[in-house]
Amino acid sequence: MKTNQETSESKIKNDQELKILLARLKEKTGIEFSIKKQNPSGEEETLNQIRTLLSVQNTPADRETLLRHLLAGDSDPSYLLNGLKKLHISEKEDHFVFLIEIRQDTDISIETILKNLFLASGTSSVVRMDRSRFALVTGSGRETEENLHETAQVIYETLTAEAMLNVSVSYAVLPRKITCVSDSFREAALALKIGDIFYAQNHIFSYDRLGIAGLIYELPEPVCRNYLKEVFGKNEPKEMDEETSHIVSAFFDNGLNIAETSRQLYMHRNTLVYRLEKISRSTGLDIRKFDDAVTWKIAVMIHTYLKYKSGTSSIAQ
Amino acid sequence: MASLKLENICKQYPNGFQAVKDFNLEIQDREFIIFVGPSGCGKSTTLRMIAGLEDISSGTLEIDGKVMNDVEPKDRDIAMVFQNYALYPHMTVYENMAFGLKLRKIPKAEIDQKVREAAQILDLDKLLDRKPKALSGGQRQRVAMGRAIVRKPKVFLMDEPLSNLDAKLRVQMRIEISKLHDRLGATIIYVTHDQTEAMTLGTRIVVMKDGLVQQVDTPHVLYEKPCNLFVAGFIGSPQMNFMDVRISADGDKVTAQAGDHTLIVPVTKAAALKPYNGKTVIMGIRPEDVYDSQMMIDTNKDSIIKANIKVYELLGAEVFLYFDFAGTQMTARVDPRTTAKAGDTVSFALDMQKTHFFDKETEKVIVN
Repeated sequence: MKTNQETSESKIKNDQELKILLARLKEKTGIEFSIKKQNPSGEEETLNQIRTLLSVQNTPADRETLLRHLLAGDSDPSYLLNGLKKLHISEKEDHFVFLIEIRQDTDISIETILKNLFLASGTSSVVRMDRSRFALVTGSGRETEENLHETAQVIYETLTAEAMLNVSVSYAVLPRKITCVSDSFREAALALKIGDIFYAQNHIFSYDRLGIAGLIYELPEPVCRNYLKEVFGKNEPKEMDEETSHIVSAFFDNGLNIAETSRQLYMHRNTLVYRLEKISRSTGLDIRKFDDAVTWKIAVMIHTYLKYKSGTSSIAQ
Repeated sequence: MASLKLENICKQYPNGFQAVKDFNLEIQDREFIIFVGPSGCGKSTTLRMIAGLEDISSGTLEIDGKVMNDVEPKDRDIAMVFQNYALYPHMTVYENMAFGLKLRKIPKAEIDQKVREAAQILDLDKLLDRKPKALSGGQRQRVAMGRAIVRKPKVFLMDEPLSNLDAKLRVQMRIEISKLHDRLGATIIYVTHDQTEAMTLGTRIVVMKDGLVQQVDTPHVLYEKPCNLFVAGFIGSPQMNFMDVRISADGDKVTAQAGDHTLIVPVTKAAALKPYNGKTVIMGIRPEDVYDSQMMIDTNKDSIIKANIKVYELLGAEVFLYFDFAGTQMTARVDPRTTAKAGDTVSFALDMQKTHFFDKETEKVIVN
C-alpha cells in the first residue's frame, strides 16, 4: 500500500509526464488536448493511452516523409527506425543522393518528371526538401560511382528540356546506408553552394571535384582577409573593373601567353604588356610570372568568397 | 517559325568568368544555324541565353522583333534537345511524346493530334506502342526529338544531340535531322564541337573560340576562305597543313621560303604578300591540295617539295600520307592507287593557288 507521501510524489510525477506528453502530442498533431481528471485512478490508464497515441504518431506515414527526415538528419533515431521497419526499407543497402535545385518558379511538377524518369528502378525515391530543392535517393544497385555524373547529366538535361528551367544538380560520391544519407545530403548541398560561388558557369557539381574552392570555403573570414592584406597590402583592389577582369581572365585562359592573349583580345601586344605592367604596379603582382599568377588566382577566389559572405554577391542575394 | 537577333550579347558570371563576349548574329526564319567550336568556347552558354535559362549580362536578344531578355523561358516558345535526354523507361513512345504536354495540362484531344503529327514526321507512327527498350538507338533519338516537336515551338535548340551515339549512327542521324529540318521548315540552332557535323548540317556556321565569334558564314566559304588561323585549322578534316615561310618580294615576283624550298607565290596572291617582304608568315594548304601524282608534279614545277613518308594510311577511297616538311608534320590526301609507301622519299606538288597565308602575329588571314 502506498503511503500518502508516495501517492503525492507519484501524482506530481504523473502530472509532469502528462504535461510533457500533451506538449509532444500538440507538436505532432497541432491539436491542443486538455485532460479532465474525473477519476484519479484512471490517470495511469490515460497516460498509457497518450503514450500509445504518440508511438503511433511517432512513425512516419509515408516513404517521402521518412526520407525527408533522414536526409535532413533532424529526427530522433526511434522515429527513423520505426519508419524503416514500417515501410520495409532495408538498413543494409547503400544509397547515393542527388540534390536538384530549381532556379525559377514553375507550374510544372518536377517530382512527376523525376519520378517517371526513375520509376523503373524500385529503389529510387524523389523527396521535396523545400520550395526549390529536391533530393533523389537511389539504391547503389542502380548506380555506381562511375556513372553518377552521367545520371546527374540526365537529370539536368531532362529537366531543362522538359520544363525549360534553370537547374543545378549536385551529388555526393560515397554510397551510404539509409541511416547515414544525411551526410550525403549535406555533402551534395555543400557541393552546390561552393559550385554556385566559384563555378557558376557549371550546372553539375560533384562533392569530390570542388578543388581549391572547397578549401577556400572552409577558411575563416579573418584568415581570408589577412591573406588578401598579405598579398595586396594597401593596394587591395576593392572591386576589379570589368576590363581588368576580362584581360586577366583571357591571359589565364591562354596559359599566360602574351601573343595568344593579345590576339584573342584584338589588342596590340604592347598594349597588353602595358596593361599587365599597370596591374603589377597597382597590386604588386606580376601575373606574367607563374607564382604571381597562382597567387592572383587564389586571391581572386578568396575575394569572390568574401563578397559572397558579405552578401554583396548576387549569389548571396 | 521565327527570326532571331543577338546584339552585343555578353555573359559574365558573378565569379568573373566571361563565357560569351560581344556575340552578334541575325538568324533568318527557317535557317539551320550551327554553333561550332572547342569545348568551353561559349556555344552552349549562348544557346542557354537564347532559351532564357541564363541571364544575359549585357546586349539584346530579339525573337521575331520582340526583346526577350526578361521573358521567362516557358514563354519564349522554344524547345530544347540534349544528348543525355533520357526517355521515360516505363512509358510507350506515344506516352513519352505526350508527357510534356500532359504536364502543361494540354487537352487530351490536342495532345493526341500533336503526337500523331510528330510521329508521322519522324516515321514513328508504327512504333507508338513500343517501350524504349524495344527501340534502336536511332529510334530513341527520334523519340527524344519528338518530345520537342510536339510542342510546336518557334525555335528548336539542339545541344550536341548526337554526341553520345556511335559513329555510324551519328552519320545516319545527321541525315535524319537534315530531313527533319526540311519537313518542319523550322528555325534550328544546333551546337556541336564536331566540325564534320557542322559542315554537313548547317546553312550557316558560327565558329566560336573562348567566348568570341571567329567567323560566321556558309560551310563553303568557311572552308575556302577562313578569316584566321583558328578557323582554318578547325574547319576541315584532316586539318589544314601549316608552315612558317619567309616572304621575299622582288618586283612583281614573290616567293615563300619553306626550309630549303623556294615556292613561287601565284600572281593573284602576290600583291597582298608584298608588304610582308623579309618577314615570316604562316602558309596553310589543305591535304587534298598536296599531290603526289606525276601529272600535278609536271604542271606545278614551281612548287615541288621532296619529303620522306613517315606514315601511310589507307582509308579505302583515299590514302593519307604523313611526312615532315620545314619543321612541321604535314598530311597529303592522295589517290588510293598511289605507289608511295612509308619510308619512301617522294616528290609532292603544292597547288599554290589553293594556299592561304596568315599574319604570324595577329593570325588573321592575309590572303586566301
